[in-house]
Amino acid sequence: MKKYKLLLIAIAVLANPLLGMAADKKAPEKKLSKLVDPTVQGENCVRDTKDMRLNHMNYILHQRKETTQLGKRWPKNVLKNNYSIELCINCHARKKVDNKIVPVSIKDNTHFCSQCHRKVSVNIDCFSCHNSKPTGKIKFIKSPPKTAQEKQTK
Amino acid sequence: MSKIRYSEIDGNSKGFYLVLVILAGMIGLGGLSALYMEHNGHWVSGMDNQIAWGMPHVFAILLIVAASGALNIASIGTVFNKHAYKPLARLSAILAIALLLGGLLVLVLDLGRPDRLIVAMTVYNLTSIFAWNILLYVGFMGIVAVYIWTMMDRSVSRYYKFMGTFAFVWRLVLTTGTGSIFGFLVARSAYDAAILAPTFIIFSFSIGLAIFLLLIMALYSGTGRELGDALVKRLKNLLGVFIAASLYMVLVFHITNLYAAEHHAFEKFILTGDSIHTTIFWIGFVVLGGLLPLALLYSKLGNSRIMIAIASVLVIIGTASYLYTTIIGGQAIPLEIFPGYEVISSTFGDAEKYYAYTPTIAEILLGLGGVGIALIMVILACKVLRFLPNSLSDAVTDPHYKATTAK
Amino acid sequence: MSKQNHPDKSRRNFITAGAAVATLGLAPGVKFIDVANAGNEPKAVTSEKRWGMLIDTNKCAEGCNDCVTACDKEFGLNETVDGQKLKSRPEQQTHYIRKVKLKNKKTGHTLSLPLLCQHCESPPCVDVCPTGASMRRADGIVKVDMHTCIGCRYCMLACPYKARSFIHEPIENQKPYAPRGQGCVESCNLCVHRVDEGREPACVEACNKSNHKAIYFGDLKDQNSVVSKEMKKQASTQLRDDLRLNTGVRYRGI
Ligand code: HEC
Ligand code: HEC
Ligand code: HEC
Repeated sequence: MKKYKLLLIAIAVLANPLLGMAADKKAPEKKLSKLVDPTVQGENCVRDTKDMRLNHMNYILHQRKETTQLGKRWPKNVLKNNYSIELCINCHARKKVDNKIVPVSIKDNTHFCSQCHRKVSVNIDCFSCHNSKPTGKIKFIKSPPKTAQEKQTK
Repeated sequence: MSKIRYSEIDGNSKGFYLVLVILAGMIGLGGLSALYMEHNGHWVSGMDNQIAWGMPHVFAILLIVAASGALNIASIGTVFNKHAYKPLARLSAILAIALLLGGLLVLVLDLGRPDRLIVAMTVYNLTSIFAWNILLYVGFMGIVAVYIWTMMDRSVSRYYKFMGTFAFVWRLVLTTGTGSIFGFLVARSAYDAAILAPTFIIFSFSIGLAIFLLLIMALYSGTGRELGDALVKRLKNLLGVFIAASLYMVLVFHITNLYAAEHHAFEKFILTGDSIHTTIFWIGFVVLGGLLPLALLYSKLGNSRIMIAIASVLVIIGTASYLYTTIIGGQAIPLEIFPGYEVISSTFGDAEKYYAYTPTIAEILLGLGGVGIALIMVILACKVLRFLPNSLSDAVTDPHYKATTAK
Repeated sequence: MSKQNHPDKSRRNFITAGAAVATLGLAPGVKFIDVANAGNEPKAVTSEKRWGMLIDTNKCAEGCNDCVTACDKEFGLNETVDGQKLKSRPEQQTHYIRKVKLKNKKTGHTLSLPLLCQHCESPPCVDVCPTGASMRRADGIVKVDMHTCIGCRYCMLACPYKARSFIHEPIENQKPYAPRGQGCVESCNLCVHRVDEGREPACVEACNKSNHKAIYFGDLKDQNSVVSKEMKKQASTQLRDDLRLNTGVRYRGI
């Protein structure tokens, strides 16, 4: 019997840090550097910023499935509620260095996605395939355009 | 027949620790090679887009096939009620689990993205024979674990016969599944054959028994316990039968292939070609893995334990050779995409006569790491739990043994 | 990691509810946020279409490699970064499409053709994939969903055309519309990103540009599409038709 008890204790000890890690994955309250492309105007993300902060993973992973499996492709010129990684990167992965705007790669510690994920110890492998640097082809200068509906309610 | 007593092995001799250190070294090197391949990408291996499955797969499938075969000893005892085999059942079952685990680890660590193992465990495509195999493997380990439990715990021993039979049926399905991984590949003339599944079963019989024989001979001489000649003789005769059967299955496979024109290219390549595969087939499988051990086992030499050990090692080499020519040889000839046409040139190797493959050290070390895992598991299991009978002397195992000392 | 692979039938509802809560509770200042992708949600592809190709080997010019170069360029295949050498050996490098030169064994007639994923209706690569990463879209495009590919390479063994390649080394600077990375299997996806935008695949474009016009591309189910009309005109063949895979890519002149 003793052996089993030992085993149980060992499992509990080993599992503890894992459980702790799982429980701790909330976006940090403290403000991080936003690293939004300085040329981007407006203050919102592709969806309400606070909501994005909390739920971006659900939105991205949902759209990912819709696009890759069902072929639903959100046009790249529509920003509102479009969770294509390409777009995130285009707005979020540039910074100003010596008055020049340069792309930021995931290898850089200040990359928008990784600086926050590192804090909350989330590990994503997306950028082993998806380019982490903006390619410069699509450039956005405005915050997401309002939908017709929104304009009416205004 | 006297009652069988089991006990843990002492495991405090220098030899014991030496073995552990060697095995741990193998495992460490295997782990390092896996990391190395993972970190750099598979370009550091000998595998490429023509030979997509290489040395790690030979090792992995060898271990998996051996795992189901190792369970045979237990099955003969439980399902077919052969008393002489019953004392060996525990060891046979734990060996089966250990070998399977070793094989699976090699398979998993060779994946392009082993970090996504969780995907393989949670998302199943049920038309895939490979997905079925994952279920079969996991099920096998569970069932055999319960089987061991029914052997070791008196309170559940009434399920012993049932679990033994269940495990036996499961293992037949499992090896059929492993064989079908290749048998279902209609695109390749080397594989497209239903006979591959039963062939794999026969091979599992012989290699499983060979490994088992080596293991008990080593364990019993290492721990100074008695291992009776009658038992060894039984096992070695059985091994001989299995070797002959595996030769027969391969013979039938090639003869049926020779009747079908679409398979001629492959037959020519394996049987009479000028590649390494022809050598491995004839020397490695037919001579070293088939005829030589048969001669050793059935001649006078077969009375010597050393010779039996050598024959067992040869059987392992033979099975490995067979798997090598099947897995890698099968991918080595270009696909026949344009019947009636000869490919003059191609930007991607279709015009080649056959594709060469040279395994790298990392691949081999990864495979050996799996072997190390399997062996260390068995040895440690024998140290902490009662897997080994105190004695396998003829008095214990042979129902017809009539020496005066028997009780 | 497991989260992203759960079947997410209910995810939409979940997100809807979550969004409502977020709007009410967390962002009182925001006027109106529409729900998930509502409003601008594109349509899913359906089986009313089947994309396919007809390759006229009589028109395909020997020695011309334009389709292959165009494909490599489109997907950034075997590209080097910052002048570094590719680590993969030639046999390890990726080929979505390749040029093959053939000689008829009886007549000695030679011809050349591009060979690519044949986009079968019952693709062996899809049948064997343990995780369902190798997939066929409703509109007939066969491709790898790299998000669930574990890199087991069973599909490479199963494919009768050797159309699949494994990515043997880390990759950087991918095209934003065509992500790809180490440890996954990949193959021609008929340029989904282009087709979904209503453009034609890169190889077809290149072939037309070089004025050979050997590849017809279009919807096989549409009787009025160019491919369907061309198919009606003359006999065409499927490669390995003994396997009855009903390929989406057909050849003329072999
Ligand atoms: C149109 C440009 C644009 C695009 C495209 C875009 N964002 Fe944003 N994002 C912003 C802006 C602007 C903010 C608000 C910054 C601020 O509050 O200072 C923001 C904020 C965020 C925040 C909150 C950061 C924080 O610290 O509070 C997250 C998380 C975020 N975005 C994720 C994403 C993701 C994921 C995508 C891709 C699906 C994406 N963004 C696409 C412009 C964009
Ligand atoms: C403000 C902090 C923050 C920023 C910035 C941020 N994330 Fe996250 N992200 C999180 C947190 C927290 C989680 C973990 C949620 C959980 O596991 O419940 C997460 C999880 C994810 C996941 C899901 C991981 C998984 O395996 O479940 C993805 C995908 C993701 N983030 C993508 C991105 C991308 C892409 C960006 C950059 C555009 C980004 N995130 C920027 C905080 C952030
Ligand atoms: C193994 C490579 C690989 C990895 C890792 C990967 N992706 Fe992708 N992803 C792809 C490919 C390839 C496509 C394109 C599929 C297509 O076009 O049909 C894609 C497409 C997408 C799309 C839809 C295309 C778009 O731009 O709207 C989203 C969203 C996406 N991925 C999100 C993710 C997220 C989030 C992660 C990390 C959790 C991730 N991917 C990790 C290969 C990868």
